[in-house]
Amino acid sequence: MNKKFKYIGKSIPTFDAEEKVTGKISYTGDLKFDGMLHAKLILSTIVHGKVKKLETSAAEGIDESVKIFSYKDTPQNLFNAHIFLAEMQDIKDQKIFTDHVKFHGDMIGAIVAKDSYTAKLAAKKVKVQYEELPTELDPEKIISENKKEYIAFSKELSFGNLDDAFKKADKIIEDKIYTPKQHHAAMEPHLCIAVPNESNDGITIYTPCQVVFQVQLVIAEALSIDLNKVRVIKTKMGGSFGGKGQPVLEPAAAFLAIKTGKPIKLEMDRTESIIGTRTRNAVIGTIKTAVTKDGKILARQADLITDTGAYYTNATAVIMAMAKKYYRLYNIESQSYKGTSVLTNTPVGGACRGYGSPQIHAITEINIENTARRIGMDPVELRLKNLLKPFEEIPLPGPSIGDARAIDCLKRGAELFEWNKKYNSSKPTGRFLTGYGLACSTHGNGYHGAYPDFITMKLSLTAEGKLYLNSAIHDLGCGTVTSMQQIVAEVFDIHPYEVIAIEGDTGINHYDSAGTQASRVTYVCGNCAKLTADKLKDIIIKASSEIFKVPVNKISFTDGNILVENRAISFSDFYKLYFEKHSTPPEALYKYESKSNPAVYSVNFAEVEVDTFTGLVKVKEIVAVHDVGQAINTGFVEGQIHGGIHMGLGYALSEEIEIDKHGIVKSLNFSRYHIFNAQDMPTIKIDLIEKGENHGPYGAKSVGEIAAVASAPAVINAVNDALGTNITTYPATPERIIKAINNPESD
Amino acid sequence: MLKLTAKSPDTINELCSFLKGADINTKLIAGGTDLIIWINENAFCEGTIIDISNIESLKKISLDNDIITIGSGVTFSQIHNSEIIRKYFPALAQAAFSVGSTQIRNRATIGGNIANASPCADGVTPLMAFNAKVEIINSEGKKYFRKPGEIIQSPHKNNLNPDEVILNIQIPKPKHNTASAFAKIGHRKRVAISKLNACINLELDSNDRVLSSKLFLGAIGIKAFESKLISEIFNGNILSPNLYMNFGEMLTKQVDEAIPNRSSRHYKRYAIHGIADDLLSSVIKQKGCIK
Repeated sequence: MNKKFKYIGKSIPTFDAEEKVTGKISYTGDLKFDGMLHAKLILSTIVHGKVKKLETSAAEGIDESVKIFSYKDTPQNLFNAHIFLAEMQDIKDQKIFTDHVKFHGDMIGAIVAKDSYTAKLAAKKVKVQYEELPTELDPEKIISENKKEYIAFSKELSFGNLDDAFKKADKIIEDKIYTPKQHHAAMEPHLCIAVPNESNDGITIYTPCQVVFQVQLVIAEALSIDLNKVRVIKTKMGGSFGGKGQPVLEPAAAFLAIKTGKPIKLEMDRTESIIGTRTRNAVIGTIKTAVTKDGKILARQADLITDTGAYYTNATAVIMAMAKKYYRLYNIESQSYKGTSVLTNTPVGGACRGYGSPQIHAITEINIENTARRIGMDPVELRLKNLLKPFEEIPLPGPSIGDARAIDCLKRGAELFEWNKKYNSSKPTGRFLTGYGLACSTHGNGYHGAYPDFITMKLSLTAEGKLYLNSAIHDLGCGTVTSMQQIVAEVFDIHPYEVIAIEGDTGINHYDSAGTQASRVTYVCGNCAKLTADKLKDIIIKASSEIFKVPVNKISFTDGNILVENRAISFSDFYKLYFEKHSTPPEALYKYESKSNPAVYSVNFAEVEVDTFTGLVKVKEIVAVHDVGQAINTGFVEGQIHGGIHMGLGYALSEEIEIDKHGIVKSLNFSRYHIFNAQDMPTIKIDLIEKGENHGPYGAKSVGEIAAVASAPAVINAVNDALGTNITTYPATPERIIKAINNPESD
Repeated sequence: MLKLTAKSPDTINELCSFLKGADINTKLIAGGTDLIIWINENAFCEGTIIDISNIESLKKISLDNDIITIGSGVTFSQIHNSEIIRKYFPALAQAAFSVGSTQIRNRATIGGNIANASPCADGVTPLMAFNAKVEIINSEGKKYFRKPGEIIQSPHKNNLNPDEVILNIQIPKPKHNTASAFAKIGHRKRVAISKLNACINLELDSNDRVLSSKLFLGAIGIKAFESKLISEIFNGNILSPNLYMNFGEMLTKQVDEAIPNRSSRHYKRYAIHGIADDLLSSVIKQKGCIK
């Protein structure tokens, strides 16, 4: 790889860093519109039932501004908020508001009032009478009793000869792993503002979302209005992690704004965000690995049950996403995969950073560590014998894994962590026990091979000599805008801040097929930015050649200027000359359709100290090595890895949406839903493998999602190493650890 | 029409006058770390809020006539950083440091910790172990003392009348050498609500022999309570790590007695060994015993 980049790979702060740290930035919660009213949802307090009656007089008596809307008022069209392309066939089973509530937190209606306090008070005074219905909460029971109406989707894949391979194996290691529903815990709870247009009967939505065109599509469908009546503008994002991927509030806000003719701000608090938005799908996975005594994995069988919650949403997608990752990590000749999604009367599943990867790798990586221990082999060595090599063929049809650097990550990680020394050291005894573990992981780069994956960008030179990039990107806080600035800046050798990159706005952008999800932005959208910039660069070179009458090979770009032979022309001067000649600004429009979907890899090593008296785990160190192709902004990449490790540690040790035996959510706020805290964070060492990837801008590929995957199983493996236990249920809370210490045979 | 009134007295006299006619919709606010959350959750918007955080006399820690007085408006950060508290009541300084995050400790007050009546209140367990008295004043200016345990009625409900306010907490200066320690177990090491907390308070002779011992346990009942079994283990013995086994077993027994039917017992009866170890290590360190 050509590493002589001027801006690529540099840790340049996000363009809005100063605004953010000085508090000047306007988040959606700060936006105000004339005559704006405030809305508060009426959410189900029961788990499953029919709403018999809404008593609203007490609420209406509070203030004359109080208006109540419910399922009686909304269209009863069915939609699926997961659908981001009109062609998608996923089952549609949601309504804006419903009288048939299917989980604790389902939407019955909303209060609209002059201010948020009045709306909140009024919402408390609404009395809902229900007729309760039987509940289904246990995915395993649904499967064992074959309750077909609750089985959402099932898929089986099988390659090779499993029977033979299992017969030939020296050992078969089986584990059953449980992963919980996880809350995204973005600092900013869900909210949006819907503003009715004065000129027509359309609506504008301001929302911190991930896919403006999906919000537009879902609103149009839910309200039966034309797409062109809905304009969606992505606002500054206060954190998403997948939680704001599916439009949760936007259809309701749009309805309320159209109904009242006023701008509506619809906001959730933390409790509502935990119960009433989306969660990481809980997964129960049974896995069986057939291995020879010298560490060749002959075959593997996985049987997964996914709890998709009360609505269908991504029941299909998450099963398929896990399958892909299952086949793209190890080279195993015979492998079967079965995934079944079930509907339960629990909070709804959706995208959550990693989209199935944290679950499937919990299952594979705990099991492979156990496999190593059972055959008495170093778990690094066992993985090295079985990991996929660059460009290796896999049985699963679909895009190539590309320049897959899993083995490089593992070797480098082992060095940095000093695995050999630690693994072979004798450990102290006493109250506090030390353990070491690791985990590998893989993730994708967009939708190529599954869904249409394209974006169109327009890059123009402005009169002030800046470059203006118009595209439907969404900065979720991780630096997308500045990454695009850097990609464009490198092409023209101008400072990244001289590039202006706007974000998602359906009224301005060209169509983008899939938004900010599936780890596609840097790899797919970033490559579009690069190719759009290349196209404009050609246009400028050709035009300069004509204007200055020099051959094209005498024109180059340097330090923010166009260099024509030895003469530096500023971009603004060039703009004038170009405009005089062509009566239009220099601009390039480019549609890029992704051509591949390589895998990214990460390996995490963990050192933990377990307090065997209290069951508390101190994570002392995490080493994370990532195969990123090429970092666009090394600081952003490291930031993603730090944040991803944080999310993984919470997943492994403390985070769980707790649901009681009746289906009521118990973890209603952060005193009961335990985020991993800053002071609990370990020392983190990061290294990047940068070998470049085809079709990635400057060789870059994804990092944001895979960052949240490997730390969790690495920590669980380390805890089991410390204690000699086989804990296979996330999170490994102090209670579960103490139970395992007292009874190491059972989980 | 909804009406919320806020009052902000500068003196105790003014406070008493504002308390006249107080009812259940009169709320006192000091640090606000519990009340603001309560206000938001309950959409409280009809009544009176009296802000006592401007009354200077409530924000001091003093030592007079062998009595240490902690104003009800003293924050946990102040307690943790107080030389007087660290010298005489190390367990209280430890407890103060174990509360919430830095931001919470900078706002939350000891008076609020008592009045909020949380079963998990980390400030209350040591106050009980040090035999503290709480001075209360009512709207007529009448002052009287109560024990912390008498103020706490049930989870998040206190026995104070709407027109009463906690002025301060008074603890007698120890007469002998003492060692004391606080320990807790939460979901994580820091910024955690206690699942269990405990405070030990020992009087020692010059040879580190225990003359008297007190132990209070919190978060496993509606309020912290005294464990009477401790004296058999500590009294008359030299403070040393040898006491650990009996101490741990005694605490397990205490958990079994306190919460025989709760599912959390299985964890707590075991994890309390961590508290035994932490308490003992801490008191041993204070007396410079060989560990």
